[in-house]
Amino acid sequence: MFFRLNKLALITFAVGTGFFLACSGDKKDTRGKSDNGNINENLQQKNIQEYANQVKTIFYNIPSPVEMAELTQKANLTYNSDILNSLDKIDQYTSTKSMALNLGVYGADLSYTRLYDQIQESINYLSAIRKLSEELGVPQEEGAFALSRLEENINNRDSLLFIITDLYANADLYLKENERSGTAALIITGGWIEALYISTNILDDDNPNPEIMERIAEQKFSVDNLIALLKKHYKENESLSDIFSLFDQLKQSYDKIELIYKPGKVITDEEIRLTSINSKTQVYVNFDQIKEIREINNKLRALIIS
Amino acid sequence: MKNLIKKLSIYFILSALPFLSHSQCKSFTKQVCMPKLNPYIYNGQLNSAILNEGDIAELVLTFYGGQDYRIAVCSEESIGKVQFKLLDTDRNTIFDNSEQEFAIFWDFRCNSTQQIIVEVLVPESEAIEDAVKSGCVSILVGFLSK
Repeated sequence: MFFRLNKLALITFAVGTGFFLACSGDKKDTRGKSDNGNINENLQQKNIQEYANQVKTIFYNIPSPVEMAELTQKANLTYNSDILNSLDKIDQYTSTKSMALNLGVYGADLSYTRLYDQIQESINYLSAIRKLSEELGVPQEEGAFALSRLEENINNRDSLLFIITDLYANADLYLKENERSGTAALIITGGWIEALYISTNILDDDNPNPEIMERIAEQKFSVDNLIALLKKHYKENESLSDIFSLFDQLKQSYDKIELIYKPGKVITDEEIRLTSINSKTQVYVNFDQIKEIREINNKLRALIIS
Repeated sequence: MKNLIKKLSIYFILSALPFLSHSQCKSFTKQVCMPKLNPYIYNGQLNSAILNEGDIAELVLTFYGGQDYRIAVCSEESIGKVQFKLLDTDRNTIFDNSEQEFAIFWDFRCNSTQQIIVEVLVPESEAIEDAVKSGCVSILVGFLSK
C-alpha cells in the first residue's frame, strides 16, 4: 500500500509538474535592445532572442481609479454629480462582463465623490460596489464592508481611501486566485474608462486646464498597456469586439499626441532608500486632440454603462 | 472499479496542482509582500507567478510626475535572493537592487511622467541538482496619497 501510494505521488508530481510548467507564463515578443552596439547583428539578434525566450511572464499595470483621481486632484474644480454613472442602472448589469466593467466604473465614481467629500454619495457608491462584488462571487473580507467601520470612517477621507483600495485589492486578489484574471482585467478597464471620462468631461471647453490636459495625454502609455492586458485574456472573444474597435480608435487618437522622453540624472539616497529620477517627458497636445479622445472615450463609456 | 477510482484520483490531483500552486502564491503575496508597501497605498493589481531559476519576468508600468512610488519584489526562500531592476524604455538601468544588498523594496520619486520596466531575475542555482528550483515571485506597486 505504502509503495503504491508513493508511486502514485511520484507519477502525480512528475506529470503535474510537467503540465504546470508547460502551461505557465506567456512568452514575450522580441522587443529588447542590446546594450552593446559593436557586436555583429546576428549575434545581437541571437542575444535578444535568448533574452526574449527567458522572459517568462509579462505583467501590465494600469493606474487604478484612485490613482487617476489623485492625478486630477490639484485642478480645483467644482463637484458635478451629473457626470457620474447613475446608481439606478445597477440592476441592468447582469452578465459577468457588465458587472465587472461597472464595478470598475463605480470605483472611479467613488474615488471622485471621495475627493470632494460627498459622504452620502460615497456611501451609496460603496453599497453599489458591494452588490456587484457579491454578484461576481467575490467574498467580502470581514471588516471591509462592516457597517460600523464605514460609519466610523466615512468622514475621514484617508480612511475611505484605504477602504476603497482594500475593496479593489481584495477583488483583484480573489479573482486572480481563482483563475479569473480576465474578470479582474475588466474591472481595471471599467475604472480606467470612467476615470478618463471624468477627467475629459470636467474640462472647461472655453478655458481647458493645461495640467489636466497633460494628465489625459499621459494616458497614452496606459492605452497600450490596457490593450495588451485585454488581448491577453480576450483576444478571440467576440463579446468584446466593440470595445476593442473603440480602443483601436482611441489608440489612433493617442498616437497623434507626442510624448518625448529625455533621460535625466538618477540619484539614489541609500539612507532613506529613495531613488529620484530626474528625466523629462515633454508633452505635445492640443485641445482638439483631447476633444477627439473625449468623443471616443464617451462612446466607450456609453457602451459599457448602457 | 479500483482502477477507475485510482485513475480519477490521479486526474483530480493533477488538475488541482497548478491551481494550488497559484493559490499558494497569492496567499504568500498577501501575507508576506503586501505589508512591505505600508504606508504606501497598494494600487490593487496583483502581479505574481511561479518562476523557475534563470527565469525573467517583466512588469510594464507608468510613473506619474510628482508622485512617489514604492516597488516591492518578494520571493519564496526556495529560489534564493531575487534581483530586480528598474529600466527606462531605452532599457537604461535606473535602479538595481543587487547594488543595495538585494533590498526587497525601494522608493522612487519621478519628476516627469514616464514608462518604467521592472525586470525581475531569478538567480540560477550554483549547485548541480537534478530538480529545477521554482517558487512564487510577486511584484507590487504602491503610491503615496497627497
